[in-house]
Amino acid sequence: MNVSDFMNAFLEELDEQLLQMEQQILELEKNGNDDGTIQNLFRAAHTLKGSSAAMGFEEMKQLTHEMEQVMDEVRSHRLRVSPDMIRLLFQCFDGLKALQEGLISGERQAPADIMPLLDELRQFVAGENLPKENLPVQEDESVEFDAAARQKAIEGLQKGLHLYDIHAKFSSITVMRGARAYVVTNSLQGVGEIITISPRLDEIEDMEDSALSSFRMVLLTTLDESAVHNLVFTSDFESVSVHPIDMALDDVPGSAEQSDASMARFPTKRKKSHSVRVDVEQLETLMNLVGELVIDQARIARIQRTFSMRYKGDEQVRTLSDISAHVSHVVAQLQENVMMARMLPIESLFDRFPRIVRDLSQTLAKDVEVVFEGRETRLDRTVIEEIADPLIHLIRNAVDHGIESPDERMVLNKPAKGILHLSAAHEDNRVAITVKDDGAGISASKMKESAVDKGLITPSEAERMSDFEAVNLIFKPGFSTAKMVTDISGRGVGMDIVRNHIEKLNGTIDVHAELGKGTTFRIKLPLTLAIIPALLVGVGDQTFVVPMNSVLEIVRIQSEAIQSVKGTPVIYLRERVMPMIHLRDYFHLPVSATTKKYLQVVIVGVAQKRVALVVDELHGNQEIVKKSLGERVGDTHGVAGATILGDGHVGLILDITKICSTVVSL
Amino acid sequence: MVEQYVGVRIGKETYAIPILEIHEIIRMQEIAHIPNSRRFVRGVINLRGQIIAVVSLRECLGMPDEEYTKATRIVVVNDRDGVIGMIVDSVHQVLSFADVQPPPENKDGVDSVLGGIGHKGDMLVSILNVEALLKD
Repeated sequence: MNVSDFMNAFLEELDEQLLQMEQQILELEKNGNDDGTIQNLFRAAHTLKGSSAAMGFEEMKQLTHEMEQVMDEVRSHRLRVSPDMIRLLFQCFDGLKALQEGLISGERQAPADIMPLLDELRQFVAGENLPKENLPVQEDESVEFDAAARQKAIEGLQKGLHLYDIHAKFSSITVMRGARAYVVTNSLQGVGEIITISPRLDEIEDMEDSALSSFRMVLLTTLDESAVHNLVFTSDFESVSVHPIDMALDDVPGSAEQSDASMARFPTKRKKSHSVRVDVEQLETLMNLVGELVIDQARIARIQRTFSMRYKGDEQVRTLSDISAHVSHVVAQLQENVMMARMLPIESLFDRFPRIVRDLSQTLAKDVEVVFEGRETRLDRTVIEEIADPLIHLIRNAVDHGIESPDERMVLNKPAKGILHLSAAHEDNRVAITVKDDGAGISASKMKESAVDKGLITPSEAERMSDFEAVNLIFKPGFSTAKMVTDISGRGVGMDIVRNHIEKLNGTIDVHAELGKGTTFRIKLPLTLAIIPALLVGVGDQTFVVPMNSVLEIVRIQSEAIQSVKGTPVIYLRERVMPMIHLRDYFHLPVSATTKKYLQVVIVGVAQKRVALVVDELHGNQEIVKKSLGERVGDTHGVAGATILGDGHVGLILDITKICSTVVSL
Repeated sequence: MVEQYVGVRIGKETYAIPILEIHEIIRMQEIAHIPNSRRFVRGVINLRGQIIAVVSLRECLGMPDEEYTKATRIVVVNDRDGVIGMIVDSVHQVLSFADVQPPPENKDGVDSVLGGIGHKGDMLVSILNVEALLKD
């Protein structure tokens, strides 16, 4: 490992821990003094302190150190979580982010930048914001059981055993605390049964002394209180408290449920998983190599078919067919597995949103709760990266323009707290993401009015438009209905950029709105961008490639069926009029000498738009790997890239979005 | 060591390309034409699984294209992060020069398409500056 390897490993860890930290601060804000959350936050700060010190990043070390101090005070119940503290923690988090960015861009932050933060943190620890004597000692907090432990406890009590809650606090000078805790539990196991222990025993062993100030167990035993106390208490401990637990046997079901819920909040994440970290670059290379294999396999299959026809019954050729079939099977599996390896749960993106919503709703004095669904939905990491900006834009819009202020909502008989609902799910071979708010919705008539005012549509067009179409005008360039341009959104450049971005990913977006009830944006995206199924079509002597996800239908029409509207050729299909493009004309290829009676037409769609492409021949479908044409080629209108076909020739991939944008929507 | 060049022919003229810039030299092959591309781009080819753009050196130098012959070659040269192919009438020989002079100045200043003029005996050969040749 050289220095840059260390640096990369450090930055990766930093990313992870910062994300963890952000989540935990949000959690803390929601749930107040929650031991699990505080412990996690402490751990995150502690880990970062260690690694930044090892890397020699002094500012980061200092900042995390002071944060750790604050969390330590909270953990030992000398400080209570307060809004001030949350605010300060967020500031520290932002400070760390700034330091992180500095590290990535290579500029070291001046230490002065974090000095005010450090001072404030120290004040917190000194307790100037909160008098210590006001803090209630939280000894009487009830113990949490999971279902199994509860069952054991109940059985024990029924047998007449005693149940004790033991809280052992180390004295400040004790070292090797993990080992000592282990000794205590060992001796207690001899006289009874430890039902629960927190932190868990396997965690305790790994914990550093500074992180382990006390531990807590529930013991089922025949001994009485003082005997247990004597057994546990040694000079290692500052205090040991032993309280009998009364468990009302009849309230079991209800409280069991409750404790289940609280256990679920901080899942046991120390579960050993057999995984290795792999550089993203390496995964990309692997994917590229698999892509080459896919292409080569298509070529082998093609040759095999030719041979099978030419030398029917030849033994060797039959063997070749078998091998080819097997290889294509293996390649398909390989491709699937590599693709899975590149997939991430969308969680990694969703986790960034609560903070954004929190900050926004504070700035705008709104009350918004974010609800997630389908966090575990997996999709290609490149897709996740690309979709982040559009989603943030939609979220900002929802909080700024969608959800009303608490007062307005009260008047409208809605709960003061607005709900922003984000969900992700797999649908067929695609991922559907929805962003839904229960805010004001969009008025179709206002949209029409505004679009006519801006000259985007004519009044007669507006009249014919359905409400759904009117609401989807929001995606037109230069459209913004916000009364006021705010800092957050509404510069009139929003939604068309969002749509462009999503269409570039071969995705679609539309919006449903119900006035007064809310707005729902629905995005559909391909699972991966690397290997895509495609339709091969022949135009002139060239082969073009149409990504399968934009192909809606393939039809054969009579040339007489072509009509004309305002000079544009159109066809009428399934009660829809759609404009028609002859790819020959579009690409300025020589006009075909023969006029055919029937035309092959591929109907493609981008969002709500449908366009009929006239091609010469259909060559079937193939999985393709998209490659760029290189910058020297210039701006090729209508061609998005190239791929290598089964016969080794190059096929040009059509840019359906661009091609569709050249004709007016009908 | 003296720097070496590959001499390529365009019509009757010989041009020299620094040998270290050359990736490989291949025979003419089927080119997929790209509609709406830049003037001198002839299309793309499949170079062992890699897709590379191919330009016409004739067009770059402002000469009309001619029919491809058996001698026509594609010289694949390094270009920015990748490679690019240049169609030439034929590939001549490896050259080295006793002396390389800066290119002559024309009205607009230095003619940047030429990287210099190489002398070999009484023969003068223009050395191509590939980067400048392909600039917009």
